[in-house]
Amino acid sequence: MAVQFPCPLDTGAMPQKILRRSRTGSAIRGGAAFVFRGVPPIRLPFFAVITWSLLALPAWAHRVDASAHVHDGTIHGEAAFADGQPVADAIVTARDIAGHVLGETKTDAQGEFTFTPRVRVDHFFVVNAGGGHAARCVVLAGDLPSDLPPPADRDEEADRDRDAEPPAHDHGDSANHGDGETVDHPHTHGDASLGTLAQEIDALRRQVASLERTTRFRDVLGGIGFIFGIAGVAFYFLAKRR
Amino acid sequence: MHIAEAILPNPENPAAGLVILGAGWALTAVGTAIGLRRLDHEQIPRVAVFSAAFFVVSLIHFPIGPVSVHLVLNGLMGLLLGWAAFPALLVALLLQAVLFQYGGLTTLGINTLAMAAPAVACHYLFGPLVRGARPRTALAGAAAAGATGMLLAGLIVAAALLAAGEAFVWLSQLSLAVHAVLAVLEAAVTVAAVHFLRLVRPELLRAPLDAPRRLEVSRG
Repeated sequence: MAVQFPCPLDTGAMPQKILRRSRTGSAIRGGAAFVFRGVPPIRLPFFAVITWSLLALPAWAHRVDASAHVHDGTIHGEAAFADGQPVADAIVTARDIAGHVLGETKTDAQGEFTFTPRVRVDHFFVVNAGGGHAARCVVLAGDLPSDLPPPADRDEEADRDRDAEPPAHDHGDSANHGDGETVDHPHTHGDASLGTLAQEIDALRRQVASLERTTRFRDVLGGIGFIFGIAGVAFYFLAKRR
Repeated sequence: MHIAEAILPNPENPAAGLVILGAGWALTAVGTAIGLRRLDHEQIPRVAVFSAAFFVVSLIHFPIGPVSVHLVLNGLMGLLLGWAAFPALLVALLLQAVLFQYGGLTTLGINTLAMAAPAVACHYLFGPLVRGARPRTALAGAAAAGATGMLLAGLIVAAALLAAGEAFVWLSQLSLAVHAVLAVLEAAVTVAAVHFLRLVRPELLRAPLDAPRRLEVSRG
């Protein structure tokens, strides 16, 4: 990643070189100035933009991605910057849909966090990486274990939710119970299949990451194109105003 | 430097968050209107180049110690564009939000304001120095503009987050050290750019010609 430094320094080094050369003798002065004759300096930012965008592809960060899922009655989540670097020691806040805080936890050095749900509501997590960088993720009430108590303070919205989706511990034969069974099923097969599954998911994750990188490269070029397109539109309106 | 949508408005204090988002949008709208009104034919390509440069440069992160940072270059932008820094940054940040989910559409106003307001401040504070006759003071002004633009932007972001009631673990020693290094980097890049422009294209800065070009002109 140190490769990113030479570029801005190079643009700086160029004029210094001219100065130094121009001081050494009058014969070289004309030559030094000739280097830049007929080269509109506007090209320099262009080249800088293009070189920079090519050099820096794998190094995005600062955008935070977070995800969470339920496993054995606990919510497991992880947060990482867009380049895969884990978000360590970040405060994770869980809220319900109305914004009431359900609890707080912290990510470990690997950017992973766990949260023990106490009520069966939608959990909205915000992972705060500091400095304005944060990410959201949701764990829906339907994914939580069915033996958790429903929310204590029942406002209308919660009631409506409960009517639409009756919790399993009230009505043993509801659809939720079936859900619970399919979720529990893999555990009975043992850890061997889980291990291979984890490997496959890891491979998928790597594929997704590399796919994201190629999309972003295209997006960078597209974004630059957009900006110059907007400049064209600005020219159009300026020409009309005249 | 980009405030994420997940943070503002803070659910604990939604009113303050909404006020900040609204104020950010309102001031950005005013700044953009002034910038667009002052735009002329010559300036449009320059604004577009800087918008594109910012769009790419602030996507590029390099590590300083345990954190990764990116250049903002809003000081340089202010020196060259003045009020047009508002539309340039608005477009670049909009594209970053849409294409890369940096920042977000609701926080676009405050994010633009945080970076463009320091740019305009640099334009008024250090513009006269950079346009001045003496190369040394011009470069000192450029260095000051580079550092000031970045640090002011950081301060505005910090103030916005604090005012929104965001629990803030940011003003640590580490963060201060990182921002100091970043300010030096910004200053170095700004000095390099101003130096180069004064040598080959001083009219971009409305500055007098520096040594080599003057020689070339006198020869031919």
